Amino acid sequence: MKSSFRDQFDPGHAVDMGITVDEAVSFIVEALEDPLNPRWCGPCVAACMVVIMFDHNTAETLINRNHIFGSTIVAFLTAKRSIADIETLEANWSICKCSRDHTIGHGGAVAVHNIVTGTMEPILAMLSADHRNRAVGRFGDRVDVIWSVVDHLARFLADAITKVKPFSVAKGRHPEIWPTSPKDLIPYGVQSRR
Amino acid sequence: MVCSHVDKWLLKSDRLSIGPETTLESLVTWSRFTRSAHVFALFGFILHICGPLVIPAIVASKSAPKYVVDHGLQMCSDISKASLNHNGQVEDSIAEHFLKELEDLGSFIHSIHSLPKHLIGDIHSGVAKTAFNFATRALSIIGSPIMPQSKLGGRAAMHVTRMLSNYASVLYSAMPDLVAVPRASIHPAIRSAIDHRATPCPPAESTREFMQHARSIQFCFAPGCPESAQSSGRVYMRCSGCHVVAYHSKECQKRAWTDSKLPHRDICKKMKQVYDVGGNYLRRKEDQEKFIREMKRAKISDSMLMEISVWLSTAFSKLQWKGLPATAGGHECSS
Repeated sequence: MKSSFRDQFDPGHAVDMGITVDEAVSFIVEALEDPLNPRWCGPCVAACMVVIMFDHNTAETLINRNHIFGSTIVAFLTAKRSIADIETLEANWSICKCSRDHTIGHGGAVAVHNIVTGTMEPILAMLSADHRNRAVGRFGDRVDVIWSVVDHLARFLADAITKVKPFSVAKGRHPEIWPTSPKDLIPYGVQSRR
Repeated sequence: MVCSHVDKWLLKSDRLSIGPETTLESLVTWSRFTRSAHVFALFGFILHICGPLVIPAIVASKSAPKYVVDHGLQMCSDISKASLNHNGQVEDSIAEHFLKELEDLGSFIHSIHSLPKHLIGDIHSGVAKTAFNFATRALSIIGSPIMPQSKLGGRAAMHVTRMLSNYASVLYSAMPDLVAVPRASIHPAIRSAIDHRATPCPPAESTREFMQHARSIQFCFAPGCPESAQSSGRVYMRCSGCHVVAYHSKECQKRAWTDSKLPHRDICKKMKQVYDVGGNYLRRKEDQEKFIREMKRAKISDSMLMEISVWLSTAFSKLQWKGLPATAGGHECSS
């Protein structure tokens, strides 16, 4: 795979939270495996997105290395929900309610939870400071976990698919590049219901 | 199940495959919830890549244009109410946020520009006038003294101005009766965009635009064939004569060649002649002048170029996707 200039490691660009980018990707894939029923809490997903966003790898490099990551993000962002469903998710997701027993045996989940619960405030402050519209956002200065997650997922996805060529995707010309087919971006069926 | 809150989630029966409308509406729902068009901006990428698969969903679901209008007007209202500094201007960060949100809405606006007028009308049914008013209001704010000078000449302000004036001009030309605004009261930027759209294009320019569009769209050119590259997932073969139109199958190509109304054999040789001379200049907008120069040098007549434009324009209007015409493309050509 061709390297971009961002692939050259830049220590100032990386966030050292004690977990690697691959662990963060695996954590998010596992967390959002069921898009309507996320497994882990919002702060941990948000923290992992920070690790990914500040990494020296580009979004397309990460997604092309791990197609399921792209598909997972799309499935999460495009699952059928109402505003009330999102409010329920927000209520349940904004604070870590994951018990230790549940995280044990799930790869890096214990480590992520330990790190996030230990360093929660600085990470979320970092996310909050990153919001371009913090002053006029939903809650002003209040940290907004679900917004951070969704905003970072959307930005990451947009970065990853900016250069994709429609014909190449339609023809499946480059199976190594995500999205491999249009269906990757319309995971809930291509047939119109109307 | 690992978390205590999972039982509060949706039932499995809700998780049915429910079409591209789901994708569209979910992005709108997230955007409404977060009060930001950032997630909505993904829509432009999805439409760019999936094209024919999502166009019917946009037409069927009115949620996207409604969101553009609601969120756009909300942004206009927010910036109008924002406190002003000692120069009588809003803070830079607020102006930047306003422009960024409009740029994000632009992903949808940009993606519908090339649709035929009646589809634009269908998509905007019930919101055409409000959408036009939103564009007018946003343009007035961008040009008003409350915007910081540092932002006015910036790339974002120019991009948003162009995008909004094009959007309003498309609405105006597609639905003049619904928009119902006297010409004199139209914002000058919109008026100029409307005039630009109405100005006939020189034959070489319009032919280049039509040929470029024909090479970029993903539909089968055989009359009545509902397939697109996205829906069939197959490699489309371009006509080896003209190198412009593409077909879903050999059968489609044979049918199109001898079609009773618009046979490809009538135009293939002429298109080949133009493609052989200017084919290298179809891809980039900057190459337009080179294309025109090559046409003149090869002494390709305006009447032949016009004939190609008319043929392609007619072919575009006949393209179908499950009952929906695909895309008309381009500028009106001079006649």
